[in-house]
Amino acid sequence: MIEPNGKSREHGSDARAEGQPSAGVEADVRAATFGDAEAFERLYRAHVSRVYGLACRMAGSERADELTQDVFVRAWEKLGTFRGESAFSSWLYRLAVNLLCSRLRALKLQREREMANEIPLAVARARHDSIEIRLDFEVALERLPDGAREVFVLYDVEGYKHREIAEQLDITAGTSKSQLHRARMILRRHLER
Amino acid sequence: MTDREQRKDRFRDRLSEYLDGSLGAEEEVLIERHLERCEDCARTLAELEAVVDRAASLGPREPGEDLWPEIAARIGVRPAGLAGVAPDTSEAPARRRPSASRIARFAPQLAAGIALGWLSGALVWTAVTRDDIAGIPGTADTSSGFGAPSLLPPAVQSASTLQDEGSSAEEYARLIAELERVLFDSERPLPPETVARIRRALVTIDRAIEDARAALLELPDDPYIQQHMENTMRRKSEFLTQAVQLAGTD
Repeated sequence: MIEPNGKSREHGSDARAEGQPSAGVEADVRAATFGDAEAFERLYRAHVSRVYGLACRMAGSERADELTQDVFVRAWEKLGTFRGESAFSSWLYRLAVNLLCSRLRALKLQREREMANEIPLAVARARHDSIEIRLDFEVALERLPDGAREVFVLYDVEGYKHREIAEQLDITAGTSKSQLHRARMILRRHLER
Repeated sequence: MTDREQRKDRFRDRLSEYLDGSLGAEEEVLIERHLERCEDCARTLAELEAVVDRAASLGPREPGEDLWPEIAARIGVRPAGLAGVAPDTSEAPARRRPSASRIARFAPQLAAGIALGWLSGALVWTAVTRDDIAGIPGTADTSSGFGAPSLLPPAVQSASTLQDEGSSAEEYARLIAELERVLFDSERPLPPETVARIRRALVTIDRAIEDARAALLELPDDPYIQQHMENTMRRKSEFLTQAVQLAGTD
């Protein structure tokens, strides 16, 4: 299981939620635990954008809708295990990362994307270098090779540590570091200027 | 590749770790010395830093369409309320009853007990009344129904009032004790088979009550479990009230 910590990750309302969960969130979590669907819908609406963003960056926007739904269905099923020892948002994002990583592994999406995306990104890079066409940073991120993309999202976007990422992705911490560097080296060419 | 280029690559490969502060002190010094002399690596470091800053600025993203209806369907609820769809008033309660499996994850004993309690209130009573009503003195004519409370003892006659006012579990417990006394210690005993069936029904209800009580020990201040406890007690009192009415109908 992966636990966010260490890096300075703050996402506006999410950071507030992680620091001091409001009474409303706590009440909704409690009510949803006992089957209150409207309370769960409020939780969904409060957190969907971050979960969706994570899904887009981890698995690509074409799969993000389905995976976001999977995350919230899983959250509904697992609400009974939430004991309030951490903020609900932390619990939810941890669940999301775990689900996304396992789903990517299970679907062997990594290898498929490795084959499909290396070439487009290389072409895009060449075009960028020659005729100054820049990819949107988010698009470039989604087109990173698998492995590099996941490590980059988990480390630089979500703030996890290499040790945690290595455990989650079943790689070594050294591989995590090298994949991160690889991702950054590719993305530096696609920064909006 | 020249020795100089290879050396440059080795330094460049460590720039991310340098940026993250994860190198040892000795390596850091080596990198810093190299950066002072190598314009390419210094520029690369600045670009990597920009990437890290850009990643840190990435915010949430809204899905292109509302995903809630599909989620609601998958978890077995209607997509009503916040999405602007009019709530289904045919089912009325804002708080939907959780499935047994959901309660079970939180308090397994409570889920099973409540389910048994609800079932017993409906199915078992139906079985008792259908099969045994003829066996209770004076109840061959079922048209008299269950609604004649005149034979109930005073303490029992207040049952409906108690229910209307939302009585506490303790008050229901007192009512239940009185009903059981009337039902089983009556001078006019019920047929043994009827008594047996009622007792079997009470086993399931009592199990539900015990399970709710156990859940309350775990979460004594939880209003939802308190409500379930009260509801289960009320169902038992209703069941017993009807049994007493049948027993006393001439």
